[in-house]
Amino acid sequence: MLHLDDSLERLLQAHDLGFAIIDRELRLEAFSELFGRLVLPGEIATAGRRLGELYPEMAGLQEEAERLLAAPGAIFTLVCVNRDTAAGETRLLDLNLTHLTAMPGKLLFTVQDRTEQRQLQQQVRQQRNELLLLQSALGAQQQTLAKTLLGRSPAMQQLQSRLHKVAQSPAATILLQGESGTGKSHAARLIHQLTHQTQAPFVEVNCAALPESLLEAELFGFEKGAFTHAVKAKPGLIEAAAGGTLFLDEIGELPANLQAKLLHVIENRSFRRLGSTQERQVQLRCIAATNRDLAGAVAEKKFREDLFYRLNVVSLTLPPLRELGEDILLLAEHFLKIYNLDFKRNVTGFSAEARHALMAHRWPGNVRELRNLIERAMIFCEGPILRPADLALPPTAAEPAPLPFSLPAEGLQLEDMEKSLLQQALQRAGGNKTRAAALLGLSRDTLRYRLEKFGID
Amino acid sequence: MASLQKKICLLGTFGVGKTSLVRRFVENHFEDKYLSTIGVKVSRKQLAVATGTLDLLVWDIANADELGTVEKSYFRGAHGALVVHDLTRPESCERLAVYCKRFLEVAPRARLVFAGNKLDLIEAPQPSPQDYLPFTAGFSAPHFFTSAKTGAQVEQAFHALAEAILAAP
Repeated sequence: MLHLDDSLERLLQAHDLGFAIIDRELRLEAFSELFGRLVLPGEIATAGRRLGELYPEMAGLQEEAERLLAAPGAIFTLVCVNRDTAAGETRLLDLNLTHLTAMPGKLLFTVQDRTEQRQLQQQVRQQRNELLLLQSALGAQQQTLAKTLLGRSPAMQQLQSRLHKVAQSPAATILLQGESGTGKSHAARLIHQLTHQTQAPFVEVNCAALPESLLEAELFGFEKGAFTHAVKAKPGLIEAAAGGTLFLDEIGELPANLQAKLLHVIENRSFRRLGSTQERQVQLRCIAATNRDLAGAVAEKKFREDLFYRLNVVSLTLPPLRELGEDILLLAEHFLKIYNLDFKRNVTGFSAEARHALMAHRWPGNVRELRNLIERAMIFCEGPILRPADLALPPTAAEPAPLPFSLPAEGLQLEDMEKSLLQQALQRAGGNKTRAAALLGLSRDTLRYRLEKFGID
Repeated sequence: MASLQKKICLLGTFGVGKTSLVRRFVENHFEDKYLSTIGVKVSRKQLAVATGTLDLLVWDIANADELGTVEKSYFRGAHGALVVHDLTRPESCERLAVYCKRFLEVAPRARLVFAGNKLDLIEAPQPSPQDYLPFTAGFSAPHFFTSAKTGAQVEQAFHALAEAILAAP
């Protein structure tokens, strides 16, 4: 039936190439069995049919056909054409159209099924693209996180709102309070980013990390000869923070002598290097953070009262993780994404039991503890999801008793807090008063009485 | 009523949702799983237009950054292109002008429409074509903000492209 040269036909068949002879109108004149098998599902190859009806990728190529006929040796190629078969598979075809030299006015069309080879390429590309998409998503999330705090709970929403207000205020000092690991350093950076230009310095000092003499030199800088090893002058961290933010972590550990000097810096916006009599001016915002009860330290004469009141003009308290409800899972999933990338893993989530264990744990180390726990779990886990055994959390029964509620240094409005707790309990219980009462350790009647008292519907 | 056949291509970098847009438009279906396209897949959809029926051949083409020399054969004979970017990945806009330019070199009379996809993942404020002028300014083409997931503006974007093709001299 075909009129190709025998040797050419054998060659095409030896290379698993389906082929057809096509006229200049792109109509089928003759074709091989393989050509007929690879046409669009539902179509049947017969002489006289348009090539574009059987291979829609070749539709509209009339001009191209004329060009090929006019330029012997030219070839038109379409690689990696996806073709869904009637069986629901996708085959990947390479199509070629060229002038048939031995038959003037005719074109040779070939089709080759290269599915196996192309699928390997697809798998490599798929993995690479998935990684790039994950990196991109994580990068975007981290950019967002750098401008906000992760969390949807009322406590976090309120903190975010207050944090933005504080950042926009002209306050020269801000006090951040909260348990260890609640993210005070992150909050300080956030305030800094919301306040200053990108290039403004953010200088972090841990007041508990250095002995008093060294801390003083580090903070205030020194002149040459100020002490035995002061062979040349060195500016301190206060100078380094000029025009930006000085973040003093663990301010409660600041020695008494330095407390007085820091108060001077805050109140006068000036300081002296060690060994110098020259007063230097500095413009900066001072953010101090502590996990200690500073008011208590003042009462015990361990922290200067004047410095406490100066720092405490604007203060924010970061909530402990155990009070953030579903935010625990939100943060856990965030860390899971980070360590998937870091460790090149593909752990897809948490089992229901693991989620329950995360919610039940009391998190004495707060977000830092959660992050470390997920990191450790990701190193050792072998399955596609994290299970309680991977998390290795201590049993709930072994948890220490809840710490008594600590009164914030700035005091609180008891009735406002009670109203807020009632609303939160109702929200968490989905409006179910029996469950809300259980959350607050109240009877249903007591809860109803209190709801009526505050006019909560 | 006359039936016309026109070829349109989907252009854009990987993962912007070109295949999902085609699937939503042709099959009214969405799948959340990402499957990287290799090569090209041609789908067909008939549109009712003022002059009759338009037989649209929709060429869903792999990542425009990786096509190399084969892209010319993919673009040959095209009448238009839907140029797609991902609203959640600003970097997906960076080479829109390059894709358009390379496409128009092969199909100089073709019409363009821009589509910012994954609208469902964007929180307020809603995007505006003005936001993307640095990437699209050289090509006076309408800009739609679509969601293959919800179907928002998908039909409108394809229809706008079809109308622009039919209105072309």
